[in-house]
Amino acid sequence: MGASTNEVEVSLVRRAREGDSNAYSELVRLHGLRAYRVAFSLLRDHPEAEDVVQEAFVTAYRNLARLKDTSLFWPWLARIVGNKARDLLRRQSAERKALKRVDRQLPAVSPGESDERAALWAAVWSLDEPHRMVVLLHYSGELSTVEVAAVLDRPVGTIRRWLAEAYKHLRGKIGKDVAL
Amino acid sequence: MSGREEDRLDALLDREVSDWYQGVRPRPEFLAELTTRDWNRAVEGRTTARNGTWFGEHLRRLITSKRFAWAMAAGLVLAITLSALNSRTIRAFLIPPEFPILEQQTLQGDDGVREGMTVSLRSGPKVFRLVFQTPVENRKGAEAALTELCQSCAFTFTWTNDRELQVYLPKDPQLPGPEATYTVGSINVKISAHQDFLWEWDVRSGTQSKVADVTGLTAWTISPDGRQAMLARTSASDHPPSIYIMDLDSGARTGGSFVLSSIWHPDGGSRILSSDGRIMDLRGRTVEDLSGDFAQPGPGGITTDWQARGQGQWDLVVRTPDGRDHKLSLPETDDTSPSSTERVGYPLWNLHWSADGSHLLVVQNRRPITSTVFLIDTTSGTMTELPVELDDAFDPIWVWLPDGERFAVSEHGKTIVLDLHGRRVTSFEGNALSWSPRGGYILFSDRVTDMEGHTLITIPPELRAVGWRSEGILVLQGRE
Repeated sequence: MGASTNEVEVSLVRRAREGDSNAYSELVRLHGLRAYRVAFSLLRDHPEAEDVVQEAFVTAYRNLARLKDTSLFWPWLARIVGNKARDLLRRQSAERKALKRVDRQLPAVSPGESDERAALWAAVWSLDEPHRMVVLLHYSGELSTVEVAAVLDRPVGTIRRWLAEAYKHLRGKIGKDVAL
Repeated sequence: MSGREEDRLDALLDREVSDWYQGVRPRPEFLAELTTRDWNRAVEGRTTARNGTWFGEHLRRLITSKRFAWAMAAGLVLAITLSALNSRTIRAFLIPPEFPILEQQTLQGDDGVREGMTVSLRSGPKVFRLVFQTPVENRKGAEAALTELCQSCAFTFTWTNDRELQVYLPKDPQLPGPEATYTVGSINVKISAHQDFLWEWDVRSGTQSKVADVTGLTAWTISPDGRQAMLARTSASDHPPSIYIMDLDSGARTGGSFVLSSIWHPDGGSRILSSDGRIMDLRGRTVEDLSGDFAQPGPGGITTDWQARGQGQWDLVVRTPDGRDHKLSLPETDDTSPSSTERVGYPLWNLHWSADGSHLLVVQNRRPITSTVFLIDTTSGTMTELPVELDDAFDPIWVWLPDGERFAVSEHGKTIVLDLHGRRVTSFEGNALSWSPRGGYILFSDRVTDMEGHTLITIPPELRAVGWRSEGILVLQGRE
C-alpha cells in the first residue's frame, strides 16, 4: 500500500502526463545529471550537451502521452537524448567538429602519471566514433547494454559486437605500449 | 592476452572510464534552472534554449516552411469569417481571467508543429471541459475560434486521437445540461462538465463505487493502513505544491505542505516521511529531522545512517517503529564512502524492506554494470547472498510480496517472483507495481491479475490506479 521508489516515479510520470509541471521537475531532478552525462559522452562539448538535454526534456514532456510503460521513463529519456545528440552531430560539419573535439576529448593525464593510464586513453581515442561512444557509455557504469542500444539507436546485438571489436582494438593497442 | 590480463584491462577500463564519466558535470546553475523551470511554459516556447540556438533554428525552419504560409493564410480567412459571426452565444462562455490555471500543456506533433494546448481552469469545485469537434485539417480554424471565445485569458486546448479539440473551462454559466453543442462557423463546439473522482474498484466482483470528488487534485498514494490518501494540488503556478491527506471513509481533508516524493511512515498512516528526510505529521509540521540522504522507510523501521566498521565495511543504522536504533551489517564494498551516490552516480546499495519487516533486500551495485543481491534477516542480522540472475540493467523494479517470503523483480516488461533463497517461483508478463495487502492480486500499469496471471480487470485510460485500500479493493482516480 505504501509507495516504493519505482511506484513514486511511475506516479510522477503519470502526474506529469496530466500536465503537472512540479511532478515533471522532480523527474528532471532525478534524471538531469544522468541525461547530461549521456549527452556529453556523445558530444563532448558542454554548451552543446546543455542544449541537447534541454531539448530532450522538452520533447519528453510534450510526448509523455506516448510513453506506453510509465515504469520505463529513464530508458525512454536516454533514447531521446541520444537521438537529439546524434541529430546535432549530423547537422554539424564533420571536419570542423572533429577538429574541435580532438582538443577537448582527452582527459588530463599529467606528466609522470602511469604509462598504463596514458596508453589506455590514447587507445580509447584512437577508436572510431561509434566504437568510442559504446566504450564510454558501457564502461560508464550507469547504463545497461539495452540502454546503450537505445541511446545509439542500434540493436543490442550490434552494441555487443561493437564492444567486442572495440575491446579487441584496445587490447592490441595497449598491449604494444604497456605490459598489462 | 591471458584471462588475468583481460581482467586487468576490464578493471582499468571500468575505473578510468567510470571516473571520467562521473567527472562530467554541467554548470550547477544549469541543473538548478532545469529543476525549477515551469515546464508547461517551457513547452509553449516561452522559455528558450540557453543560448538561443535551438529556438532560432526552429523559428527559422517554421517561418520558411510551406505549412506556415498555409497556416497564416488559413488563419487570416478564418479571422475574417469569425469576425462576421454573431458572437452573443459564444461570448456567454468567455473565461474570466481571474480563474486560476490548474494545469497547462502544449502538445507538439512529430513534425515539430504545435498541435494544441490544454489548460484546466477551476471555479469552486468544478472544472468544465470544452470539446471542439473539427476535422483535423481545420485545426487552425478551431484555434482561431478558441481565440474568439477567450480574449482575455490564457485558454488552452488539446487534440485528441479522435480529432477532437478539448479545452478546459472554469464554468458554464448557461449550460442547458451536462453537454451542449454550438457551431462557430463550420466548427462544432461541444461543452461538457468534467469532474474527477476517487473510485474504489473491487477487482473480484468488478463493481466500482465513487469515494470522493477530487477535481483539481491528484491522488498520490494510499497509506499503509489503507485508510487515507495523499493528494497533491496540480497547479502549474503552485510551487511547492499543496498536499492534502484525505480520510477515505469520511472524505475529510487535512491540508499541509510537504515536499514532493513524500511517502508514508511505517507506523501506518499518522506520519509522513518527506524525501528530504523529515518526519512530519498530517498537518505538515516537522516531528523529527533525519538525515535525508539515508532515510528509507519500511515496515521494519527507517534507515537513518551508515557507520564505518572498518575498511569497506559498513553498518546500516535502523530506527524501529518503537524508536530504538539497531545496526545491520552490509555487504563489503571496495568503495570508501557508501554515501557517494552523487559521486558515483548511483547508490551503492538499494534497500527494499519486506512487507512484514523481517527481511531487507540489499542490491549492491558494482561498476561497471553488475549487481549482487543480498538478503538480511533483520532479527538475527545474518546476511545471505542470493543467486539472482539480473540483466545488466540498474533499474529493475523490486516488490516484496505481502507474506515476506517472496519478492519480485521486473525488468524489460517481465516480472519474476523469487523465494528467500533466490529460487524462481513464477513469472508474469509486464512490470508488477504492487501486490494487494494479502497477496492475492497483482497491480500492473494497465491491469490487475490474480496470482495465476489471469486478468481480472483492465484499467481504462481515463482511470489510473493509486494503490490498494484493502485486499481486492483498488483505489483509482479518474472521470466518470
